[in-house]
Amino acid sequence: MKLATFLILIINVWVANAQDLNQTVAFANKLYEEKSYQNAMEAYKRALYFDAESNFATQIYPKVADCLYNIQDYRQATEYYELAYFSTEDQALKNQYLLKKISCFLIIQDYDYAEIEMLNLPEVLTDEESKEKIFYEAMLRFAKGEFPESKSAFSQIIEDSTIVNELFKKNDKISKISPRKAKILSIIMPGLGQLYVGDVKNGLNSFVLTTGLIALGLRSAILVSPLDAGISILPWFQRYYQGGYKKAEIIAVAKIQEKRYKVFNKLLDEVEKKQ
Amino acid sequence: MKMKYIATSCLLLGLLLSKNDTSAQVGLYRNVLPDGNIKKEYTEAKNNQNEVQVLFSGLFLFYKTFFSSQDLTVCTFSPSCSEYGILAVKKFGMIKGGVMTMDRLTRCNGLTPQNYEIDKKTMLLKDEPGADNAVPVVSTIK
Repeated sequence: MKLATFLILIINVWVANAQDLNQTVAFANKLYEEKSYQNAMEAYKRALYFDAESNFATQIYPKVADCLYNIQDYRQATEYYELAYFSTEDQALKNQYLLKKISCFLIIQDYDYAEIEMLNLPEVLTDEESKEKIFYEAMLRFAKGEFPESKSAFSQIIEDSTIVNELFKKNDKISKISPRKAKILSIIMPGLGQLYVGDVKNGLNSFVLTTGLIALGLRSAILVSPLDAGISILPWFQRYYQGGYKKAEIIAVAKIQEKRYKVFNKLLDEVEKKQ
Repeated sequence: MKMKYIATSCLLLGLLLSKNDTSAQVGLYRNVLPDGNIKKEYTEAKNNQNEVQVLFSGLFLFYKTFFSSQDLTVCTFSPSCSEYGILAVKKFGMIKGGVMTMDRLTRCNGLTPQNYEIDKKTMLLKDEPGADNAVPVVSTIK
């Protein structure tokens, strides 16, 4: 019986035809073409694991990166584009991977890394690559607050310069909002900083709360004693007064971001129209 | 004549499809900039099962909207005392949840950080209603 089991095992191993690397890669490629990116990525990773001599690395790294890009895991996609970049000698492919990396870093709002990759791009690019680079440059400069550079890049993409000028004029007005000014205004009078940036609800809220506490403190001071009023009301007043002017600064920063976001998306609308 | 219509419709369809493709490409970059939304969503006040929970959720939202929104970050715990309160009432009912909230308010002073784990995301002391203490607060009575 033991001998029979042993023989069966041996024959099984001999006869069995396991999936080899070529088949795994072909299967992954099929999944990739079917746009089943999650499954394709897992199949590619399996192939990478068994590819001890790195025969398929050049082919697989960009595919894994593309899969990750398509399933919106941009952080990991950058790592695989990096591997793809160093696994090839073809400059055209290298440029393509660099551009994809810039795209990923922009989407995950990692502007400094996007800028580093932008600097890694060579001087000479094809027309398509140059167009893509200008588009990324325009977005990156806008995100980093370098508006003149962003404007000139957007002007190269959007033909109608009046729209670009108009939107950047709007953007310049946003730069006039000062979070520091909002804070100082709220120190002078609670709620004023919030009103300055256009947040009426929070402005009135802060004003009513702090003046209400002052009124309550004065009433206690007159009816009971100033010491009692100080002990019971001052800590509350300090919390809401200090909270009010610190929040005014935060609200101002958020308002600037909100307005810039709108201008930026209008610029993207124009880019979309052009395409 | 028929062929002409077919060819024109194919061309239009192709143009439409190619436009959608580029739109999707530009659409990827809509959130390259932060949108400046600082409004918080309080999930604690959702999925109320009865009238008591609705009432306490309302009180919680009123406090969060008009008082907490103007306040500094002063609570030493995560979740904050008001969030703990609504969670405790929802989990243990009005009486036990109310007592637990009062107990929490007396503990909210940062004098015994050794009794709690630290929430690495907020760097505040972790204390959820009904969770076991990281360190026994008092010795058990035999």
